[in-house]
Amino acid sequence: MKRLLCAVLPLLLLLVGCQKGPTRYSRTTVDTFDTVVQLIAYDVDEQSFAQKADSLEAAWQEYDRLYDIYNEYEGLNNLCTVNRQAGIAPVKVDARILDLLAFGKEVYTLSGGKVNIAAGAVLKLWHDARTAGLASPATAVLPDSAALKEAAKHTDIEDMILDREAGTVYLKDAAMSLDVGAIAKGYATEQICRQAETLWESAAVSAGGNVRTIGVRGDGSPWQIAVENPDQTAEQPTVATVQLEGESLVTSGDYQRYYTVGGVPYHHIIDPVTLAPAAYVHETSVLCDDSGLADALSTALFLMPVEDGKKLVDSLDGVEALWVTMDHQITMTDGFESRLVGNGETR
Amino acid sequence: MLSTDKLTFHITDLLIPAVAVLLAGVLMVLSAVLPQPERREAMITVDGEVIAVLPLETDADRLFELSAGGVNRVVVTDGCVSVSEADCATQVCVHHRAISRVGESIVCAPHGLVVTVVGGEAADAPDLIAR
Repeated sequence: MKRLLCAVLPLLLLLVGCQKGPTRYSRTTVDTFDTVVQLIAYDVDEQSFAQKADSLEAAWQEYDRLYDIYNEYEGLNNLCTVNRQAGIAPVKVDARILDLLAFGKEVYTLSGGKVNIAAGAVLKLWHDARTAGLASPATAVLPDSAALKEAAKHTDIEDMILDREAGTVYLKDAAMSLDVGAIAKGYATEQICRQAETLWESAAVSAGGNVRTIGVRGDGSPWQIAVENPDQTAEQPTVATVQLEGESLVTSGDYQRYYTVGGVPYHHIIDPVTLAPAAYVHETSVLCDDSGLADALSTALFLMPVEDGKKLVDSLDGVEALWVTMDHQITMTDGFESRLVGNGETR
Repeated sequence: MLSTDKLTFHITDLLIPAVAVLLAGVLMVLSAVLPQPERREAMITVDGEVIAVLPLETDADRLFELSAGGVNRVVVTDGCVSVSEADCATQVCVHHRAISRVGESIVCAPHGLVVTVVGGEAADAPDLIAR
């Protein structure tokens, strides 16, 4: 008996000692709306991970449909419906739409009008020109400047009427439309990650490059999240890697979505003043707790000179940022620098 | 309760625990020393299904005509893989740099196509990239 005990006890101890904590699982999904969702989480087994991941993906799909400005869905009033009803009638919508649009108003104020979800009329002209130009590069043209100026007259966010009690949104100006491209991904990511926080202690999500972390890695070390190098010809794929412990990191840049006219690239982040692609920096990246705010602010910073951006960031608590300037210099707030892994990579 | 005399220690009692510890040690060393798959490859998936694996040591130029519609040309040159051509609306995959590090990927979201570099350990790779 004792011999057996002597044999079994150490074996049990060994087994316990070898038993790792939760295992790291990951999944990459491409949804039907041009978004890649990467999910990493530490869980007890693959089945548990898969079940939770499925539920989050389903939630993500719902947000995607609600915030879609290009397609309508049977039995669902989404932002596309709201746009089509501009100047006609208020549309009854899901609370998640009202919440996003209310957040859009906050962001408008916060960014001094730089980030305007009511600027759909202007953005549509660029979107259409870009789509046509990518499909047929030889005939690519810029949007007509008179048409842009005319569209800009129909971008007053005060014409977007939210009625919480009735649960409706109404666009007063028939020629206006909503484009939530600057905030929707980050906002949806934040809401989904708040859901995920009840499922995992340790996870990281990237929804189309919007990164939000939950806790730290399974081994207790911080998540390491990199910022893409906007110079796509450079050997170094990233310009910095920061350590995150539950925060979010979102980047805006001119290097992913663009088209070329006469050899000149025109990207997709449009300056509301010049009505042309913003030309202050190549890339901005914002680190803060809330992924919706990080998304909106990274766009806001992209739409202003670095110095103005630094003032804006300084005025906000818990917000840090990095810029890659037009001459590919990297500048960042002290708080961002303090989060760099190994005090930073350089190109 | 066991009586005291039954708990007398014999050196032979250590035999099984010692073997167990030794075995665990050997397994640990083996798992660390055993060769990892060093060969880097580009794994190409569509909606999660692997449709091709291209070794990065061999230059290649492959046109994928996807069953759901859409075309992507994947090119391997000098150990790097890139998407040189696609008929998708955004061209984000074509604009993406050529990749060669384990864990890096290029995504053509409209086509559900993902090119990922696999093989070997992804040393020092970040968990995710904000882009």
